[in-house]
Amino acid sequence: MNLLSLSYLLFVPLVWVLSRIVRPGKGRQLLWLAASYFFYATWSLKFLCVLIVSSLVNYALGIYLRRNPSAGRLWVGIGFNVFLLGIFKYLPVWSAHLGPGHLPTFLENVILPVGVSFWTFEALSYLFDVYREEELDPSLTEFCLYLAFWPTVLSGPVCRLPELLPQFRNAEPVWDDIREGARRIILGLFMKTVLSQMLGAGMRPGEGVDFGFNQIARGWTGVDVWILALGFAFQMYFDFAGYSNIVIGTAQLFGIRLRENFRDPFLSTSPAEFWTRWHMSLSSWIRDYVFMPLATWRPAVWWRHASLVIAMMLFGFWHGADWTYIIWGALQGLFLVAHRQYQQLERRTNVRLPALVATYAGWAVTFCFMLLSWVVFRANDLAQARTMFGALVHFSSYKHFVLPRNFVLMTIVIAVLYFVVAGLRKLAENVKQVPFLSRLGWALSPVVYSFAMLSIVIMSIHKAVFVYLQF
Amino acid sequence: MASPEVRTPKETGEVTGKVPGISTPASASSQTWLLVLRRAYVPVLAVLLTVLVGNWLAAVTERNVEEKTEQLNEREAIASIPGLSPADVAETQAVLHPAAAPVKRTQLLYLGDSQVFSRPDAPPGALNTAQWLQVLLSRQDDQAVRVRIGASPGTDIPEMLLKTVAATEQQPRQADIIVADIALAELRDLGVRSEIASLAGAPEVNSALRSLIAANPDLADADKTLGPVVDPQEPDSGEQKTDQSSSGKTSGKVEERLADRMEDALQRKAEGWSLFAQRENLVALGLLRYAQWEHRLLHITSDTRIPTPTAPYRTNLQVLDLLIRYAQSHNIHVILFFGPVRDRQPNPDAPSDLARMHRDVTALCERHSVTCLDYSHAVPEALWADYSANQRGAFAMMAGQHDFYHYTEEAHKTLAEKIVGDAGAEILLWSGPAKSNPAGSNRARSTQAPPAQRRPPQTRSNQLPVNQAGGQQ
Repeated sequence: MNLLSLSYLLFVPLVWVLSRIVRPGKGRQLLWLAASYFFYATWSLKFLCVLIVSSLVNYALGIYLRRNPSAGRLWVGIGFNVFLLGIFKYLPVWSAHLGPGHLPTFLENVILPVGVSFWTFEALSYLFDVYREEELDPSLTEFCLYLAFWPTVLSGPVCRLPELLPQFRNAEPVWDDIREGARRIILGLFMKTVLSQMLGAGMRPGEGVDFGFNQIARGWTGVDVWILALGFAFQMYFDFAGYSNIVIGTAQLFGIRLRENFRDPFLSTSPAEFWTRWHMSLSSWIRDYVFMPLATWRPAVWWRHASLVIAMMLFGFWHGADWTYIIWGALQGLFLVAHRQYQQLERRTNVRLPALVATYAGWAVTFCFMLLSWVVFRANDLAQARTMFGALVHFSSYKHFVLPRNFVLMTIVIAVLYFVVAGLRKLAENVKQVPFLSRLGWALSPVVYSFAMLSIVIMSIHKAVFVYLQF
Repeated sequence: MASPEVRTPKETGEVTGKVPGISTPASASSQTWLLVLRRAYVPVLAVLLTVLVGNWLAAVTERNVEEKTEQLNEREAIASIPGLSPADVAETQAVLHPAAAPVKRTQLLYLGDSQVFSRPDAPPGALNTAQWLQVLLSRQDDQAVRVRIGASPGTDIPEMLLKTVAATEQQPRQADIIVADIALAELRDLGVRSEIASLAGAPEVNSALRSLIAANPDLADADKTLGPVVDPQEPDSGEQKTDQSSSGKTSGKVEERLADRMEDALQRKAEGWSLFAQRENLVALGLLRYAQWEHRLLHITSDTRIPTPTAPYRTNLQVLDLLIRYAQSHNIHVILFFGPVRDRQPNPDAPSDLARMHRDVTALCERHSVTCLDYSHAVPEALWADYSANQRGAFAMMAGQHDFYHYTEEAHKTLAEKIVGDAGAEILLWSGPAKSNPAGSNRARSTQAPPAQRRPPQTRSNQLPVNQAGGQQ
């Protein structure tokens, strides 16, 4: 069952109504767990078996670790989860690279259970938290629900048990939760079904980011590469932020507040800020459980920088066993290091740019770097990335472009609209202080929602896929 | 049943559903009503507006589509064109409805874009090139060839290849001879429409395409273009990168089918609402309106020069190469011809681009010993169509302008006569062995690049020698 399907639109109200019948506590947790397992089973019963086994083993490991929180025991837990990821996430890719006959048949036939990287990271964070002796004492039902909770099981946000446990026990939605939940679901559907779909597949055959990367074999010009980078960055953003909105909105309908995953990442004025706004749940996971322990291992400055690069490479590797992801991660790490060096230089020399110039220059450099790094991330292989970067520095290639004009225009319009809407949102926050304008906004909001819902229905002719499902 | 408002706004300290600037009424019951109204206003009105506007949009779209269908139906009625015998009429009808015609003859798949069938001036029932070709060939041998239209508007070369493979792999086979109209306009794009891409979903077509790609690694650009068609990303599977339709790795799909079936049933139910049913037409209508605005804003007219980017052009040529290799490895005879070009300036096709296309396609034909005919100048200026001043539908933005792609009904007949004159004997000759060879039985062994031991290139009055191609422009 996909979050964009009609079945999901029926499934959620059904579970919601049943939740109202069952009182909060054990009964409701069991209901949600059953609903979550049913939801996951619609993808595959085999996937469900893997999830249940992982839940049981991690729960047992948690008890084992709580009795004596030692590094050795923690490593057993880490080893189990890394083994799980290795088998289900990375082995199929390596098996495909090796070709048939190199591995035993049962290993060659292993496939990637959807969401495995997300719920495995959630399990790991539980073990880390237990090791840090946090007050966590979930029941088996609560722990299984934590890993399988249907809004988050497919692609996160990567949650933490300390945040969810009290909510699983006492959550009760108020009217604002329902209103806000519904709003975020509509917003998410609009971002995914309309905006991301238009960028990814284009409005006509022979258009779109996917076409630009997959079907144009060579001959990109500098303009094409910039447009594809811009298109992919926004496609990813609308795709994943749209997904996150649907998930957060769904959970909020049930009174559960999940952590945010995106906060206007393209307004960031530095790479460090970008990573507090983009895929926030995973970047904070990497920061807390990879970077911090690594960086505090040795006091040397070079080691802190190396830790940053290693952590970001791991971030890249999390997406898949592909050099493009690892290099993308390394680039992010190096950019973060460069930014730190720049900050140190500023402090040392006490020379600073005027605030406004620094803000805009920081934004421009960050935005351009992020766009270009997405080229490496999205390229089908390193050779393609190299060819595309070659076009960027081939200045004579900027005279024309091979991408369809409509797609180029659409990408630019959508990108500009993103910034206009971001600006308007800031303005709207001030407008809230003016009662008349605030009332006018409220009165007109049905028109906006109606436009969004009509667009979603019309654009639902395309069978959409969330990009992050493959990770 | 617990109410969602277990905690009141007072208890939670939240300002639930409150509209700024509206004071709270005194009485408790009116306060409750006002709260209900405030809360219901946005969702109820939004849903109501969605339904009303959705129904209106659906009705407008439906009307639009009905008008077009009526126009098409008029076209399908074969008029009593002077000189057509009842047998001729039956032949032309069989071209339009090939499914109803028995597959006993050699199958000629006529590929191309809208040039093949568009007759802007025509009275209802006028014939297109493929129909005239059928009539003229049947008059020479009424049991030899069955012409099938494989043309659709804007058919680019990858789509031609897919249609060819699908027609060949079907049982009984529907392509023994291919006649393809090559137009520069179709070498500019590479997109494969979903309805044509879905042909690759048939196992035999998919497998044939995979073999073709695997056997021709030298045509890497073409392979890359066809890759996503052959290996579409499975929506909803979550296995995109690891389970690229390899037969062994299908776990998750069996179970998924239940969810798919459930979803399909719901989608069918939802199509009871006219907006759902009209989604596809609405998108098409939206694109049309967009194109109209684009033309108006950018002052685009029918004679505005259209650039031919090198990357898609080269890839299209490679796909054409692949098409010829596939056809030859399956004993399918191929005839390519350059479609008519309107000889007036300004023109959307740059003379240099046309010359390049002639040069490259002719060289390709020579390499594979394929008949290549040049009908660039086959249609005189008098037989070209213009968009009427009251033009409606897809080309409304071209009203009153010259049409650089479509010609009159008489030109269709002229073109068919030229094809029969130049290649008719060859087609009838090919139809002989094919008849004795049951359709579909002449499977080839390899789809690899053919060796250079083919028959020598044809020499025809209209066939363009490589070195003269550019000079014709």
